[in-house]
Amino acid sequence: MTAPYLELRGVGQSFGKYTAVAGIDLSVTRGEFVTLIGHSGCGKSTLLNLIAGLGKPTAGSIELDGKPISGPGADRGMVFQNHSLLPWLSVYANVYEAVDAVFPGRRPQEKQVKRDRVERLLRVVGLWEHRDKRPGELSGGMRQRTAVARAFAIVPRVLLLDEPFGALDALTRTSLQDELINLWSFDQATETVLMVTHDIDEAIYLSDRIVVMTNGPRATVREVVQVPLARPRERHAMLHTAAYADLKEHLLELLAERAVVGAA
Amino acid sequence: MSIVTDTTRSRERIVIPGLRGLRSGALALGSGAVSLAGAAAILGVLWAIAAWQSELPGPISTMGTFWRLLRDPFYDNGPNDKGIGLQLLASLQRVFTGFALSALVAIPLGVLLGSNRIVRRFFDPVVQVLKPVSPLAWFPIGLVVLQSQPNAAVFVVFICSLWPTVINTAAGVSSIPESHKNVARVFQFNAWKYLTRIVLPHSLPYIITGLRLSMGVAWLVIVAAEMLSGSAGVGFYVWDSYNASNFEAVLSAILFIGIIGLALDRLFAGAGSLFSYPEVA
Ligand SMILES: Nc1ncnc2c1ncn2[C@@H]1O[C@H](COP(=O)(O)OP(=O)(O)OP(=O)(O)O)[C@@H](O)[C@H]1O
Ligand SMILES: [Mg+2]
Repeated sequence: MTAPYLELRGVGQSFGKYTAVAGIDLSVTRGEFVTLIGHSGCGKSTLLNLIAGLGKPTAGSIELDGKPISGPGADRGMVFQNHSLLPWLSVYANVYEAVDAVFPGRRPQEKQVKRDRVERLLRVVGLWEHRDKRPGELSGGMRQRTAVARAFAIVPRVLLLDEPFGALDALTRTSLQDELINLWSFDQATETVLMVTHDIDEAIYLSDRIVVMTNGPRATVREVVQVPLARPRERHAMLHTAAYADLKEHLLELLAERAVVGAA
Repeated sequence: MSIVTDTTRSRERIVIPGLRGLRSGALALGSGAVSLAGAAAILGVLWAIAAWQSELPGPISTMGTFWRLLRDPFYDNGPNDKGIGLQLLASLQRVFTGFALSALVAIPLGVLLGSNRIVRRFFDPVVQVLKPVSPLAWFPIGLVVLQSQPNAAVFVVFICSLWPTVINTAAGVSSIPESHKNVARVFQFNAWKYLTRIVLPHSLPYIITGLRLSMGVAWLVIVAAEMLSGSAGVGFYVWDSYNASNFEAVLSAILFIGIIGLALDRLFAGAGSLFSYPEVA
């Protein structure tokens, strides 16, 4: 946890005349779990897509492990905001095809390794029994779990999660958060996580640092808040600590102030 | 019915609700038969009035001929006297040959046009100019190139059934949602995987619609082409019967042409319903 692993310097993105984000500076160390929070439309997905390599920033630079990001890569797995499963493929095939694309080995033992990995992940997210269903036959939570399994399945170094548990009831949400933490510790290779969420409790429970963004246009980093809670965290105990209460209060304040700080 | 990507592992299957699609197809066919009967009754009355006022044979005498043709469809008394079944088979064989060849060209061409804007801009005017050309105008070209009248008929079918499939395939491929493309990019799909796991599955309903329209055109065009080519075939049969002043046979042949055209269309409509997937947001 020393040199920055992922480094954003003065990153900005304009769509025609509209500048969605501007002047984003952020460095993430290896192994960190960072969440991004901010009001709807402030540019969180835009930022995550840039880190995924789906577009080039119109200003500034993004470096991963010392190299500028030039496009998508197998070192970064992503859960899209709309989870983007392929509707004609089964749950199994949605995950398998991603693994197969990233690890194209054709030999029988290589294929077996891939199958084993898909099976293990689908069991972890509790979808093994539903592996033959297509996305149209799944509940919203099952789709999100499939997308999470797919992102982990390619053994990425960095995981980019865009509201992976959005629009879920509190109960499903907490169990998926625990699954995420399980997967994160279960997979040694996947160290660094960047996650977008609207849920402050989720952000506190999961992350090491929380990046609060200002509103657009020209949205930028308002403040980066450290989460002073030791791991492993116990959800219920956490809720009753003073640190948690202070942190939540502070985050709510930051979000309530609608002033655009980074516009200068 | 299912497309299996790897027959040894059922888990890698692309699941398709085959039975459901077939059943709804059969239902559509059933209700289609009822409305067909109603339409036939109205048509029969109008036809009887028209026949009473002209030289056209009426429905009763035509039905007599129709049944006679239907009872012995496969007799063969030399090149100028064959049963309607043999004539229809000769036409169907040409239609399927021309249609299959055209699908082999049209689907890849459509994928190319749909996936590349520059290629599309270049080819679009070509398609727009060639599409409205009458099938009969293509016939001499076919004759010159292929030096055979029956093959020229196949050529006409080939050319005319290209366009609907090309246009619909291109529409399907160019409408792939950005989110699917992003999946392919983030998860490093190579060209082959992108084609077989995203482009083709997404475009399949469009392709089938294109094929369905192409088949309709092919069946429409073969009758005209065979009137010119003048060997076996239902088009030849119509023209030959007209020259023999056998108008009952002409009208019966029209009925056969219509019924087979409808059956072909239903076939593709049924296939189309097998390959539609709900887009999950
Ligand atoms: N492709 C695009 N073309 C034009 N404008 C875009 C495009 N993508 C995003 N924007 C704009 O950029 C801004 C940020 O969008 P973004 O999707 O990043 O927001 P977000 O923070 O993820 O919001 P939410 O929390 O609702 O998902 C919005 O104003 C949006 O209209
Ligand atoms: Mg978003």
